[in-house]
Amino acid sequence: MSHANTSNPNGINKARNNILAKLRGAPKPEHIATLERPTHNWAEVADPIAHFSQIMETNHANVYRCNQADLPATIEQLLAEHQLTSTLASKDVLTYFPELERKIPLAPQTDLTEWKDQLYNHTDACLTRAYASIAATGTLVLWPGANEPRCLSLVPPCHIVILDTQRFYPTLANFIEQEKLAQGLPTNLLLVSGPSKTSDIQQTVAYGAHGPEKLLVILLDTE
Amino acid sequence: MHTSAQQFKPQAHDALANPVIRKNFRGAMDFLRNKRKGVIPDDAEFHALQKVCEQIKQQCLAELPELLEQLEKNCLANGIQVHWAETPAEANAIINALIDKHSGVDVVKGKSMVSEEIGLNDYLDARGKSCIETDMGEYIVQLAGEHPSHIIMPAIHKNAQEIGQLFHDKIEDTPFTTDVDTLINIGRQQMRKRFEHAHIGITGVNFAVAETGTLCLVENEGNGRLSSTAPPVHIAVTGIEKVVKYLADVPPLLSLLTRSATGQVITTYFNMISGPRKSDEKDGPEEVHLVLVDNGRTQAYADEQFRATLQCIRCGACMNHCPVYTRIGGHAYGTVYPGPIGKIVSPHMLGMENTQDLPTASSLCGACEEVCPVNIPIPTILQRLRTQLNQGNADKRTLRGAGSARKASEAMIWKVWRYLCVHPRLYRLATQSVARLRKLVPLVKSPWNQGRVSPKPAPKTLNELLHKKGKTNANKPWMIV
Ligand code: SF4
Repeated sequence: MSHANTSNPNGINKARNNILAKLRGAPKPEHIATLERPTHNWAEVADPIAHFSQIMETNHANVYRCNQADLPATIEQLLAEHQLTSTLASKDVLTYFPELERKIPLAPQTDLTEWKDQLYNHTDACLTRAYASIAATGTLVLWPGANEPRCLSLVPPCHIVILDTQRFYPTLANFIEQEKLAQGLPTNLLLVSGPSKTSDIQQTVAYGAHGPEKLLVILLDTE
Repeated sequence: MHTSAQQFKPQAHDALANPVIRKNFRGAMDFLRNKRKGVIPDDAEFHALQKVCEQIKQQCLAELPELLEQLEKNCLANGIQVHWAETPAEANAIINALIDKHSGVDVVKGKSMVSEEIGLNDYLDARGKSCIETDMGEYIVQLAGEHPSHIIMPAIHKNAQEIGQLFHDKIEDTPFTTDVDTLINIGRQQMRKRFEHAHIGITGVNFAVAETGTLCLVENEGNGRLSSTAPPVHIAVTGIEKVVKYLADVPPLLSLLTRSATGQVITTYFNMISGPRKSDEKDGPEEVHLVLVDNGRTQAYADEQFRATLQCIRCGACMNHCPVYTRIGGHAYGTVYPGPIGKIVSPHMLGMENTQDLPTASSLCGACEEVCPVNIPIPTILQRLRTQLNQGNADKRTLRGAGSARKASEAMIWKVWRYLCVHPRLYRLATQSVARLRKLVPLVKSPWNQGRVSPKPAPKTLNELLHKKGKTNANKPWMIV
């Protein structure tokens, strides 16, 4: 039966036709105000990096800042600080920063089903890159894909992410507009604004509900 | 505990008499209101954005059939398969068939109110499939054999003590604790394995973007991400009103949604899904399905005023600010959607004959309308629903079950009253009789004087007093003094 209601260019589709017919049969509104959809007027941000860092830290993320030369040392420092031993890095990150491979090994380049156990049960932390950032809300934009599986930023208890400080947008609206996202989105685009959390028990915040308990953000100053 | 909308009055009565329920809800509502206030410091900014969000939703609703077709077209182009269901039964059958097609038995579900609305868990249970709720709050209520009492915070009716006891009773080798971090970690561990091995993931949708064929999910925990990423098949189920036209419509709606719901400027995760994995990707679902559910929404759509009900973005602010909800909690309503939004949307889903008391469970104070991010005129809609409930004229009964609360005796009383009002002699005779028999009035037993002092009519009617004053024509009392 399900196929009868499934969009199938050749098939009959009763539910679909009924729903659309009912909607079309309804009266048209006499007057709907035409809306100037505002773009980025409700949150101008004076110092995006400071604003971002402050909100991220309020949301329980750790924020570090360094330049490219100091990146390996910074990584080493935070691995030690958070006692992270079994780690994996995405190919995207290591392509940009090959010098990091000595600190964090490359994640397997096969289908995740083949190394699921490793990722779910034997990995402390994964390193990925952030595509961009939204200052107003303290938000990272992740753009997973062939060289950066979605689960790297999701399954292990710690997520380390490198963000280029040139990649700041003031607001989400501005980001969508500047990047012309309406013309095409990746299969999965993610906004991440802190470590996983929940307040479902008596409104008490607890971190690491299902996703990473720790989010370590490295702000990287590039030229 | 299973409640039903037909039993609203006794359920509300019980809830009012339950000090734990009263305390848990009072505390939670105060907390959520303060959180919201913290991120909406500026009334002018809120009202400006509220106007924008209202207009976006109104415009999208005005073009709803076209947008649904556009959404379908763009989803298909992205590789997302689209299914349509008029009723809960159809939606469940579609989902069940998809699970069967993949020989799935282990289903993980991220928070989805529409899946509650269609009763998916029970449906799958009856067919030997285990569907585990993975949102912490939903997991808790599922474990307790209950239903959510709030659309954003499903387990808000329970305190840590009760949840500690529940985990201790229901999960093997779990010592009793009230430490929230420990409890959440127990939940996390319970669900890890399920995510790792699940066949099917089910989620809701917060916004479905027509122009790009994108499904957006708002959450804090990461269970929505896991449910839509880890299993090989992702099924998203949502109501037809969730479609927006442009990607640029999302930022304002998202901003007011999270601020109104949990007092966050944005949630931890905002997940935008525009298709199954590409061939070179190493994870993500191989199939993504979207199930579009009607379940009474087209009825609300057919009437321009009731249509506003469909503007709702399910933030829960109306319940957080409702004096009735705060006192009786979510279960007393006996519907999946409780509180003010529940009162205006449930009659379309369940029929007015099954939700008779809901539109009356309001003082019409207007707090809900004031905080609603999309400016739904909830009190006005409640009054319209009351009229429909008591509608005597069959031609004007436009909603399913309209007229079902109409009582012949009540209708008769109003008829007599109307007659008296336009026949002055009879009117005077009637009011004079009441004045003469005033001593007897308190003897009349009615719900009004249970717990209230009975009103006692004055010994003389207004007409008589005026007449005595001899001012002017007693037939025209409005002309005097
Ligand atoms: S009716 Fe308004 S306030 Fe209530 S849940 Fe819907 S959007 Fe939120």
